[in-house]
Amino acid sequence: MNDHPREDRVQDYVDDLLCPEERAEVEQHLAACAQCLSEVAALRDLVADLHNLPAEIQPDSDLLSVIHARIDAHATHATDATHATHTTDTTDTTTAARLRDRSLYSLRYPLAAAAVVLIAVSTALTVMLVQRNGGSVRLGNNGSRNGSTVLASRQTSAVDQRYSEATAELENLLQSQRSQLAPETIRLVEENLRVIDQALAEARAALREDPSDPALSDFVRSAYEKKIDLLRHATRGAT
Amino acid sequence: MVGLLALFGSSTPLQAQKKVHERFAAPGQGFVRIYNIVGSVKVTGWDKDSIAVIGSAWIGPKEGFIMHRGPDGTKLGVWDESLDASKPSHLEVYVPAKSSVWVKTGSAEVTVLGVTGSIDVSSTTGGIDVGGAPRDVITESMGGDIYLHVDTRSARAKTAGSNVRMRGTINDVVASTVSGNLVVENGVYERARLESVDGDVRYFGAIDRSASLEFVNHSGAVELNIPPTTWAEFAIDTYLGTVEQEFVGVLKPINSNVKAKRYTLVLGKGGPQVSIRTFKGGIFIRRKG
Repeated sequence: MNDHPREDRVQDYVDDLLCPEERAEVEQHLAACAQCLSEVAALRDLVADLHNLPAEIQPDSDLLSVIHARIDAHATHATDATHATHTTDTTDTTTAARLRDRSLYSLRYPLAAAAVVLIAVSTALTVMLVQRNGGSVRLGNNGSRNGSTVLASRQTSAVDQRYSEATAELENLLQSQRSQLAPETIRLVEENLRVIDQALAEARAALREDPSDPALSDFVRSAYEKKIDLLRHATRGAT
Repeated sequence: MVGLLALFGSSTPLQAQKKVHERFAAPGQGFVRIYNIVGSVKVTGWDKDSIAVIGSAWIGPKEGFIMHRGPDGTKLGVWDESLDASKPSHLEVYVPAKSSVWVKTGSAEVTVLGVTGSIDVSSTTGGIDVGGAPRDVITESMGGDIYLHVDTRSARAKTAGSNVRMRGTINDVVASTVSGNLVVENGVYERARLESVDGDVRYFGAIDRSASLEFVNHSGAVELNIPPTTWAEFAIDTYLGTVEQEFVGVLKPINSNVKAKRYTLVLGKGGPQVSIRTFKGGIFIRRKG
């Protein structure tokens, strides 16, 4: 069954926001499509769970004071810590921000969210596998680098590969949807992709020269995330 | 000929500007989803348990004004899958102030004021203007400027080629552009990550005592304009950029085995944490006010 209703229509069906004709169409499809039926059930469960959530959760003052104390301690540590610590903080912040970025409505695009999760999980798995296999990823011609540099290179290669695959898929999707986009939108996307690609190329070149600098890895990762964001928004706009 | 006239006659009424004037009861804390392709959407929160929509909607061969009410919320607006609406629709929507408002547009400009529930606005190329004290706000426009003048606990603003401008008190803010500028005017933030690739990031105002601010840019500048009496601890990192600061405090280089230049700077007795990183953009910390 290929002619599935759009995600927003399924969501509207669950929220009882379809007119009778649209509703009948969706129900007819659901009668013959286990996949969509399962999605509807999952969405209904989610909505039910959301209804059961409290509107606000106020932590008690004891908890807040403990959290504040930990934050203060962490901040003090960060001030005089090495750059490695600084980079870890940045990554934590970014990850938290990414998680916070998710709205309820973003559940309509589970594929996009799943892609990000997939990248993170796949990257971690790839790094683990690479480490376990004693480094089958090509590290270039410098065989005398120290352990942390080699590890940084392996991680970067793994991250690079996963992000490259994700962006390539989205670029292909965008290409297939090109006819649905306004010329102004295409121009906007292309211009900004050029800016990001330029930044990405510069950061990668710098990382090749200075592979032990974790800040450069962060610039590479940040550029990839921006590229994915832009492509995701463009492809979502087209649908 | 008669057939052609009949065909023409039957198709003409399908394309017209229709006045919209609807009002109906709505849950005080329900959701409202609003769509528009071209034109404008203005959403205003009011102290009534009803939704009112006024304006004009373009009724074309593929698009038209829709409105559906469910037990938990409402969906309304002008939309079509092909996103090729030929003429603008202008919608003014009044919603219960505590509603959760979600707006999606093509190139239509969006304004949301006075809503205290959650706000989520996504546009392809339309500008977005959000004001008031929403519970939280998420905004995204590839090609439209975003202006947030809000007091809220959480705000997100994301654009590619346009500018982001922000004012107000926000506990937690993340804002980013690709080639547009990002400007903060009198913002008071506890936690912030402000980021661009090629645009400039400019911050005007004080740094909150408990702030943890992060500025990241690739080739654009990061410029902080902060009061002379500021207390803060800066961690500064740039690969190819330059660093200038106008305060009495000294930039202390951090020795490391990498090419990037790293410094710390403590103003006053320190306190708030400020991290600034650029790849090749300049970093400027200026005394202001």
